[in-house]
Amino acid sequence: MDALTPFQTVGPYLRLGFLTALGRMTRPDGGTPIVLTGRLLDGAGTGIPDGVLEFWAPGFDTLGRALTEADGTYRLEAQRPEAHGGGAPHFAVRVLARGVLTECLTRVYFADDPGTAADPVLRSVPEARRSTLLAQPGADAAYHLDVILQGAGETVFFDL
Amino acid sequence: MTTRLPSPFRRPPDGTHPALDTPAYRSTALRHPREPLVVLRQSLTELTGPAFGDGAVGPLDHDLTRQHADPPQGQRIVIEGRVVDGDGHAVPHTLVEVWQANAAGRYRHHADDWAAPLDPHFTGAGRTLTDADGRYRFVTVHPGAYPWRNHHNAWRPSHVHFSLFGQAFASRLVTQMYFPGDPLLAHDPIFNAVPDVAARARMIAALDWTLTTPGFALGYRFDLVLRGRDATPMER
Repeated sequence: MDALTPFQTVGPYLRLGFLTALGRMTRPDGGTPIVLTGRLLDGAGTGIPDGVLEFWAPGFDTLGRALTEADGTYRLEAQRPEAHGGGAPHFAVRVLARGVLTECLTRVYFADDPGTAADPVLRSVPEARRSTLLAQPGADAAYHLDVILQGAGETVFFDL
Repeated sequence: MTTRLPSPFRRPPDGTHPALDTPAYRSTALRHPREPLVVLRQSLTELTGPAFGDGAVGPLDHDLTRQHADPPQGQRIVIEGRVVDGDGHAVPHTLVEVWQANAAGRYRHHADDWAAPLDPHFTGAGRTLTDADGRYRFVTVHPGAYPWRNHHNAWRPSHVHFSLFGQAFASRLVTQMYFPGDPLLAHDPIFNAVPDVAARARMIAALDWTLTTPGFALGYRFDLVLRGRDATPMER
């Protein structure tokens, strides 16, 4: 077996190199358009300006990359993902940032989806922390979810 | 109905990747989760990923020395390598992104306020797709070392950032390529955050005479290894 190349942080200047698939992702078969926004926050509750959230779900033709703004805000235009394999619709999410030496992997589910409560992965997460994975619906197909790397309300991250 | 999923990816051996909580790299302090990670069984979500077509990159995206009217300052170099998975299989047609400081150690980025000069002929970003055999090639200049605020008199060794997607969400890799013989490596908390000394060495490119081009550029070889898959397909 070939030995793996180690991870290193993206560092503070990731915006220079991440030029592809920014801000939106599309499903060739259509689907309901949504806009997902939120903030990426550190353990002091401060927005992380030098980070990116990368979204993926089967059926899309690209991933969606949302670079964070000065106050940690991210924004993704996409369509609702489809359910598959007995789970509820969700995105896989990878967080990369300065100060993150590898990656933080999480998921985004939709709080208003009827299948969400029964999703087996969500049910494997301690009940008190499940809400950290639920995007909350707003007006006009907008969803909101903050991603908190550390501390109160810390987002659930997965070991893959 | 039984659906056959692609095989899951093997777990990396201990010591290969840095710990998220690495005090010597100060910025990790508020940016690592304190709660235990939840073990996730790899599903279709993690075992699939985006495909990148030829439209993803332009014809000169791989040549960082030809993106402006004149060539940049600095030592021109070629970086070439092969992307394989942990079983030695080529990773074809995958997007490779690089970004780096210029020859003086300055990034073309609003947050880089070091007083080294910007080079009007160097952006410092490149993209390419691996070929059918997993090979890639960049032409660029040797990046300079630069100071940072991690600790007193802290200097980053010369490096090129690499971002790779691989074949699935689970196989992504972001790393940094370093240069052989750099005395700053011993003092760098990011490089040394990788616990296994042998794994650290896999981030150092090799000066390669078969890639070095007479009268043109020094050549460095940098091969990358992404996660491999378990032998047995998973069923559900």
